[in-house]
Amino acid sequence: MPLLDVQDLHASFVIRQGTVRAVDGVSFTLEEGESLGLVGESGCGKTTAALSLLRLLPPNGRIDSGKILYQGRDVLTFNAEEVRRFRWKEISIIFQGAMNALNPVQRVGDQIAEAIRLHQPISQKEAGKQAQALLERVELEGRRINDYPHEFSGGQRQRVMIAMALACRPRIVIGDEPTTALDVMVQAQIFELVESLRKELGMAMILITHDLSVLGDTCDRAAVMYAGQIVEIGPIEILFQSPCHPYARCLLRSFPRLQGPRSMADSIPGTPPNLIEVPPGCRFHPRCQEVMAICSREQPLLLERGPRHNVACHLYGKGIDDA
Amino acid sequence: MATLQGRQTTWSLFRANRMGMAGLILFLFFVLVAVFGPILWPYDPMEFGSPADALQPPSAAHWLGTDDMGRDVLRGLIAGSRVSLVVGILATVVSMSVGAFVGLVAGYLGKGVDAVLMRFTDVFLVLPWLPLMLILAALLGASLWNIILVIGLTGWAGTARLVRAQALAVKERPFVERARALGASRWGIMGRHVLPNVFPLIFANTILIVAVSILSETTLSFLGMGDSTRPSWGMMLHFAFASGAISNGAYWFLVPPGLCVLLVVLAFTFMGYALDEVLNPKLRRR
Repeated sequence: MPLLDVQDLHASFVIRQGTVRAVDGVSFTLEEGESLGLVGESGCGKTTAALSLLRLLPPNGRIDSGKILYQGRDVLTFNAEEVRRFRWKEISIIFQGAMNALNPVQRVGDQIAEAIRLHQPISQKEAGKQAQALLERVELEGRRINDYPHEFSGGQRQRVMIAMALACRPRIVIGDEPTTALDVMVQAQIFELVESLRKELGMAMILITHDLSVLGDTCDRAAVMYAGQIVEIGPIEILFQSPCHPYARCLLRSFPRLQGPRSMADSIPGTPPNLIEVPPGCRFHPRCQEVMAICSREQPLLLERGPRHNVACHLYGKGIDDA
Repeated sequence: MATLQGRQTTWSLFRANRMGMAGLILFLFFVLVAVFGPILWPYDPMEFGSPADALQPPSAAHWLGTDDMGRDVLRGLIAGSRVSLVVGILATVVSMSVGAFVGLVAGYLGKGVDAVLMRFTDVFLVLPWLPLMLILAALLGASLWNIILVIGLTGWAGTARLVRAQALAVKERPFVERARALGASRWGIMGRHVLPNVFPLIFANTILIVAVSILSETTLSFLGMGDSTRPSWGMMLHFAFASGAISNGAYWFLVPPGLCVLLVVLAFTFMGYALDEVLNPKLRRR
């Protein structure tokens, strides 16, 4: 049984213009200790999918259907108290923009201690000691538990967020673009830290990122999302070497190469579809260079292409491939 | 954000503000008088002087003269400072607590709760406060605690509006979402994350409310709704008015309590405006 098994998840937001189907039939699994990358253009539903795992959608969003099986139990059937106890204890998040994710008028030690005390019946003093140990774990001085967020640099604040994410020893950590707005050197340090801690503690990770080099360095598998759906999911080597879905090919090629002949990064013509009224058939077909007649009629299924490698594209549908 | 600066900076900005410092010095003077004055110059409102001592102008024995019952006006003033400050501050605590609670709950929970609480607040906002206070005071009876309660319970509506507006802004900030992700409950988030971020912004307002509360106490007492066992400045004005001190030209009975009310209210107003300037960067002089 996988640690996490998401089945046919649908989530939507109600806005004035209509209902935005931000996540529309997403399924994936995550094994113990595994690291899965989520990539795709802005607004393709990566963050919504990740936040849905903790049932953390904003008030205008809701999970419409599907199953989120965590160790075999469906998170979507939990009552409010069970959800409260599940959050952070089992799945924690490293938020993007650590400045804003920390309460400006509370000492960081107290904020880490809050995370611990919400899930363990221990004294404030004991939680404070653990917070100190956690800060040392992320290579900050333990005495800085008494400092306020504005007294930390951007990279240090992100370390505080990591310490907080580890506070309850969760099985899964979600990284929602954890290093945006940090400079490249600090980004590398943060990822190194996250990776070593993750391996040491045996945690699984879901990493949302735009940075393909980070994806290649840290993830075992990756899922490429387009317009609320996973179009291709598989081992990272296969995705980088021979992506199958035309969108995945464009996306992975849009990253300029450092070696080899100089070339302009390709951009994908057209714009992503409006998620209120999605195109019929394959959602990528208006922008696809290999579009076929069937593409505008039938939605492709996410079919197995190899071991743990699935693609949703008519190019690889049965019939064509078998022929 | 004002909240991001340490206490040190807030204090140094306040210290540089002349109006604020004038208010603070005035306030501290009245606090000293209220704390130590009655110990050094005890005053018993029930101890009347002989009729010969009534309404005597200032002299060496009575620096500010005597009132219609032959009591020393200066001692009465000193005793009154205690009542005015205590009522002003405690009534503010009551109205801030009610206002902060209503505003926080309405702003954070939103939807139906917000609609109901805000209509309730609107009622308190539009009801004329003086008749409301008079009716409540008459119903509850004249005691110091009832006066505090009456002033507090009629003055919270503005605070509730202010806190709600701030809570609406704060609840959209990412650390509130993070707190939800931690598994914190609604009340935990309101208490630990929203309130502390709202508080600095309403702090200046709190001090202005003290000034209004002191004025309310004076008004109630002047109208005869005060606790007669604990004479306040408002009550002195009431007796001065009732005994015809004005037509008798007994200015020493009338002017000092009026002046004291004015100075204390001015002290709080100055401090309130200065703090507003310090804590609200938009008003800060560059």
